Amino acid sequence: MKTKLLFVLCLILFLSSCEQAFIKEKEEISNEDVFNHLWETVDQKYSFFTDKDIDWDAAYDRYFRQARQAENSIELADILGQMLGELEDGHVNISAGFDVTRYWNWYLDYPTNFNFDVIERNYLEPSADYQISGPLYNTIIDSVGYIYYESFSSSVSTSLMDYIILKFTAPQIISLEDEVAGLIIDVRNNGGGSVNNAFTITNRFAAEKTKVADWYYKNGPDHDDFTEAEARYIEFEGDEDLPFNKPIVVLTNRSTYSAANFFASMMSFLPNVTLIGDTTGGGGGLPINNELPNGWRFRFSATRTIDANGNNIEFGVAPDIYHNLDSTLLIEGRDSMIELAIDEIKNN
Amino acid sequence: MIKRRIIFVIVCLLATVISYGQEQEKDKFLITSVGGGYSSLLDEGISPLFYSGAGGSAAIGLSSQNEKNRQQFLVKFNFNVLTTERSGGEIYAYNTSGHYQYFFNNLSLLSDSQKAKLIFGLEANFNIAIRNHQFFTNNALHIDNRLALAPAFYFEWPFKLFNQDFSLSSTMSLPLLNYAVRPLFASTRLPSSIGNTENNYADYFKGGDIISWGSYFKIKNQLRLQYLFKTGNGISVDYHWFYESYNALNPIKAGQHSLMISTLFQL
Repeated sequence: MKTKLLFVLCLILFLSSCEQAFIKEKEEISNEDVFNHLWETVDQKYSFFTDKDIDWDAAYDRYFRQARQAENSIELADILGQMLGELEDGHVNISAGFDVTRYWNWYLDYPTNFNFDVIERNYLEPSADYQISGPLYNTIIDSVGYIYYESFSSSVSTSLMDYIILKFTAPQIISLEDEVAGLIIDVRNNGGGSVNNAFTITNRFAAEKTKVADWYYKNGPDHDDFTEAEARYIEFEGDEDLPFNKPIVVLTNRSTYSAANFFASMMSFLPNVTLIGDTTGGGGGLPINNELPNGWRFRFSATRTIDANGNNIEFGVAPDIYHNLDSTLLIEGRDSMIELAIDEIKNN
Repeated sequence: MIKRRIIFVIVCLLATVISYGQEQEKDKFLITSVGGGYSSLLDEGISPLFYSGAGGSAAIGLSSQNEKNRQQFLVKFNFNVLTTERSGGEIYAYNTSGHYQYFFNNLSLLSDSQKAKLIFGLEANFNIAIRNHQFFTNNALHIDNRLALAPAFYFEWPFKLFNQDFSLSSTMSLPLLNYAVRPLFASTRLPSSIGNTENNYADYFKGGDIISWGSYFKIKNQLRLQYLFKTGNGISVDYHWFYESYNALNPIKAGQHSLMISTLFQL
């Protein structure tokens, strides 16, 4: 009897402490381990292989030997960064502590089309209506409301948007005797952040529920394994006593990226909105994070967004009116894109 | 297929909630426990790195026994901060689990003449794991749910120490029929949330897979050293442990240990 009890107790104690034997990570991590995990994770979870016609197997052949032979971490990170560069995606990086690998040609190969210094010194500071309301720099330029939003990482609430609309429509608050003629929302050099902020702002201007896009999530390891389309809509949210139906111009450049790219795309479906500037930089997939066996972090796009007109916004959102900044006017302290937007609003 | 899954979920929940206390119990206790624990995690949906760390636990439950059966219903909550030295990453892990166990006294594996008891029974359990990676952005929050039916064993050995009556018991279960809901392959969205703007609690248990040994293995054990006062109330030291391995699209292995002090109030 005692032997049986002892056996049962020993079995219980043994089972109660042995799970560490099954949950293990490799102690010695080779370059090969790091490379293989990165290549395989991206192979199975990255969302734009088919859209971009990328031969990822060829990338393996091209970089595997180099990665295996890398003599130090800096060299390895550089090779892995080059491999990820083949994806031509600004949402793809490795954070290795000493460096962040990057692909930034989506804006470096194009005109800047933005100079905040010029805007601040010539349009914002001289104006009696200039306020910084949360993350929104706003004022009135030539009887047109102007908002500059630097990053979608900074939260915007519906109540803040209500205040902005109140400001632009209530003469007792501003220097005008009447409400503004329209609104410019400047998202140039806005590299993105939270898509929720893009919805908050867009919803404030949506008169009726409008489908803006279909989102697809990666749900399997093959390049074309996606969920069914998830329709995304914009719908009015805010103070119903404060509608804003005047013309709106959204200013974009190549550095309008990620959540700002989503924002430009969604705004383009509103009937009173005109996009002016350059095609946005893209970034139409929500990036997700992961880690490598050696502890480095990396991120990559794992969704696809097709707008309601069937365009894949990974490749950017084209403006209604293309415009590059006039460098001569810029030297004089004038932003030709803002001035074109004012003309567009007033002529409508 | 979806209908079958929904029926399975409903059966598990009903078995857990309704069947408790359908018979007249001789000894019925309210159990409250607090303690600490240690968790381990290797979830390839989050990271290839092994995360582990300490935290706190609390539990509340009911237990009862009569001549025919022995039952326990317990809900346990754990919070652990899991870390890995390799990346410096940190995961806040919130785990809520519950079980209903029913043991048949007449299904004894030891003869009646023996002092110790080893009886067979069944368990229905659930586990809701919420893991929040502190350094991730769009895929920080992972929700991972399980429902299971398991054969279970109850072992009890009463003994005397310093002229006082103690008992050492162990409850072990091996989930056989499981229903698992994991986030999508490359997202933290749950399968049923796609295209569904108004999620309710039931949606967190939709769109999962029915799994069993082969792709899924879990073993769960509760070791209890109990002392009953003359008043009928008691105290116990409990050691809870589980290990889980699920060979899903994103494989996961997890383990958890909790050491808890419990009070038993006779009802």
